[in-house]
Amino acid sequence: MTRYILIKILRSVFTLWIVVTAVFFVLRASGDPLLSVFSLGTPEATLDVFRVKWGIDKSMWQQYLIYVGDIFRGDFGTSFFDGRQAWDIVMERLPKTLLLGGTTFSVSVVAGVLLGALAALKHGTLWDRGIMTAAVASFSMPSYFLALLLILFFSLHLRWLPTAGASTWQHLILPAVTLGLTLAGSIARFTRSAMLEVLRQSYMRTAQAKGAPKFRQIAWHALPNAAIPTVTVIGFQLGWLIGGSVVIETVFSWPGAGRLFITAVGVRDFAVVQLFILMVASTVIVANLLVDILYGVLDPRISVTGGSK
Amino acid sequence: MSGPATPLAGKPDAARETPLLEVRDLSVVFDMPEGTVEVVDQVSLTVSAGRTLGLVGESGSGKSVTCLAALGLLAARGRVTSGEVMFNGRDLLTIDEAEMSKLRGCEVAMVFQDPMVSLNPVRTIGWQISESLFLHQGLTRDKAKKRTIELLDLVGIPNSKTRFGEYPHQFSGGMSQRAMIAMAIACEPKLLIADEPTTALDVTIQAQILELLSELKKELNMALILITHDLGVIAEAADDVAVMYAGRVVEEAPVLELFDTPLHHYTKGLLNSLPRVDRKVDRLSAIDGTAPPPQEFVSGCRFEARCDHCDDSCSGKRPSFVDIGTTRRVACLHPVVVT
Amino acid sequence: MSSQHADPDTSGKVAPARRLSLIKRWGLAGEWLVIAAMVYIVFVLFVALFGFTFQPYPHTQTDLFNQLQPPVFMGGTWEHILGTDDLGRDVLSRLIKGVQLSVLIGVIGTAIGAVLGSFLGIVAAHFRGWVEEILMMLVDVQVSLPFIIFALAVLAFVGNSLTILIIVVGIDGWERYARLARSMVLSANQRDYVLAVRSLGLGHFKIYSRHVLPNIMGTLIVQATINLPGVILLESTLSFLGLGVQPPLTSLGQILGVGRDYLILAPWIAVAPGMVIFFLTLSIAIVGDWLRDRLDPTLK
Repeated sequence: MTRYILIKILRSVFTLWIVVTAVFFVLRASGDPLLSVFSLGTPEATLDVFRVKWGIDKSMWQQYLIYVGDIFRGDFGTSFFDGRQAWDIVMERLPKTLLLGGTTFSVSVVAGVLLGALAALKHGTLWDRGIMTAAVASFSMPSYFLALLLILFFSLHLRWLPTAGASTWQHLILPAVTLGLTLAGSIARFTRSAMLEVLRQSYMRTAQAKGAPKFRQIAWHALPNAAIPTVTVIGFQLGWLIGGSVVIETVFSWPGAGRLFITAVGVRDFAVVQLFILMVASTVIVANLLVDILYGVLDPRISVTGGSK
Repeated sequence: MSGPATPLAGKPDAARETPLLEVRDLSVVFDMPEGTVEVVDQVSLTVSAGRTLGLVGESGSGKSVTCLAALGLLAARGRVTSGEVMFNGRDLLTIDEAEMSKLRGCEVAMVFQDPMVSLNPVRTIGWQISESLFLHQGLTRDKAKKRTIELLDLVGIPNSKTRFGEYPHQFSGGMSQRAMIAMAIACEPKLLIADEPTTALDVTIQAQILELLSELKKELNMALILITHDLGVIAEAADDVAVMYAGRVVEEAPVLELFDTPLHHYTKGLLNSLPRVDRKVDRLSAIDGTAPPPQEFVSGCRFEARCDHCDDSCSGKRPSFVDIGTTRRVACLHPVVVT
Repeated sequence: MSSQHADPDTSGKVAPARRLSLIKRWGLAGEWLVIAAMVYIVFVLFVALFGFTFQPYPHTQTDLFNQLQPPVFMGGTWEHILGTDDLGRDVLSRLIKGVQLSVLIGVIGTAIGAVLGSFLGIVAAHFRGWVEEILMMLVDVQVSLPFIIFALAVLAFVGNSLTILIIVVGIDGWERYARLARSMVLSANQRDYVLAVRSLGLGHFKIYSRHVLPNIMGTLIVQATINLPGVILLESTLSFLGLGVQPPLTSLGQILGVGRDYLILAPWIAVAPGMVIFFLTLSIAIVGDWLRDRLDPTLK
């Protein structure tokens, strides 16, 4: 098991390195970064000063080595726009993103798992059909459109909730609901199919034949089995959540890192964009790693055989 | 011996005792998308303490469904439409699910066909056996563990202390089935239903499991219902036999009499397809045709289409049972003539 | 498996040789949601292909005297059935044009992802070894970065012509096809029929094109159907954020992006394209699920 995790960690680091490298070169492929900062007609001499200052007078490979070296020293570069450390700029926005993402994630995981399990237990009934139709609808809905509809109804029509900003807890409701509905919908779907799969296994009948009451059959026999595939899927949803929050933060003017990314991308702020992508990729990779480990904890068949699926 | 207040208890002829389980005219239907199909048609069975009833028939003949229905274990689309299941003086079909849960695993227990998939993969063997003790006897953790290890010893699982903490995937098929049996007998049930307990196992293991079941039956004075499609298993382990065909019982007899003089042409056909050591058989013969699926069940004799001895009277009306002596009966208008 | 006894097999028995309507033959009886979804998809495809014939105005034609006119059912005139936008452009005409481009990008994008991913998957399964290792690593990389973030960065930095947009959108989901194709080819290569034709000396290309591909095609097509709504949503999101389709071209997401600024004054500008996208992705999802359950339950 330890060996298995060690290999996984090494692989993850390697993956992250490829992401960092690929992003570095793809972004540089777009041409001279200075062109997006300075207006045309800025004297070459001025540009050269900045080229030296930002280290972009060197060759691409030198820049890359310096960039990677700096990462190890905890230096993620400076923004071309306000000259501050990219790290500080992103960190300043991170708490709001964590607040929104954390709330959304926890609420929709709980809601999604419960609704999915309910749909499976009431298989074939109106409950099942209702929950599943709502789930399919929720992830077919463009999230930004749902956001606009919610704003239209709750903010502009009923005037219950604010449209934008992040100053009070009321500001959190609409963005969290928008993001969470989609997430809960897909989690509910996966939980349902995992649960249905488990419910038709022979060991569920064994539990019933043993005299376990209904609730015990579900909680002690079915759920631990259904959790195994569900956990994987929930882990993968984290990446989706981050992607979705970029859009939703923009629509609701939520001052988080996602909106910062959209702004930074718009003005081609290399350091900030690179750092943001690096952080997102590390988060997703770490989450997948945790899922792998959790998988081994939940499924006794894996920890003993040494891991490979 | 059997029920606590059975007046005939202790009499030597166990078959005449008040039966422990008496299934009367049980009918079960399945609600399918295409409509309702009756898979069990007025089946009656009896079994007494200390006896083994072999329930034999092809797959799809309704033998498993009969037993599952009796214990209220049918899948969601299965329904009992008529009949009684008297167990120890109570009709199991009328008591509610909570009562039933108390009964299952305690007074009536069941062992299933494929032990590898009938054990929960994420729980240890010990946990799963202890659960019965916890549910029905309220044992504490330590006591349940001690008792479980005893049970593992009883069913012949070596290294029971280590095995207690292992998971089903670490068990072989035979060992899994032993664990299933340990789970079933944990609370010393009065009735044990074993649904094809040896079908998924190697031939050598099959004999061991049957041996174990017979021993336990004697030791605990249980009634045992052994569901199988294998006449060899019946010959080895059953006292009485009920033969099912297409959702109905067609013949009932003590095991020796059945093998000696089958009365129903279906039973005879089954026996003729079996190699025998006690009798010279020129060639083994299979019964022509196949058993009908439930949607094609007719109201008359369902074996008619495959039977050489039928006439016009066979179709249309369900053949009623004819008692032969005190111990056997057959549902055929033209039973095999005993020579 | 006593569950088999408990489930009498009734699937094979359908009323013999009775002439069944198309709906019944496709197993659609009672599936009203699926039928409605199919009808809607056909309608959208029709608009995408032939919309130009009944498009009332050019989608770029402005009319500064008729800005923000409401639709007919909100008190507007029949001249602009779905109203006009901030520049007085006819919303219906823009919708028709938008559907055209959104469907085009969605379909081509999905096809690119499916072909690229499947090809890489087959290549990996064929060569095994380091080729397969590299592919699986690329899959890891792809999975580690939410696609929309990758797409936004590329479009903003590399630039966004329609071609680049289609390619970027097309890359989305390639790893799913690659994984699927790889595992299916690996198991197909073990099957007797492939071993048999191989022993007959058939070339690799012929083995794959004639024997392996036809066997895995169904699953890949179902996967493509399941991916299609995601691709359409991706394009619409990028366009909504202003990094997708650029004027004078228009797509549903782009119209919505414009409508966002007029949510109070003229909600129809945003709501109309939003509804079109929502029902389109919903319909494809419903049909995709139905197809999967019918053709390939293993994909779940």
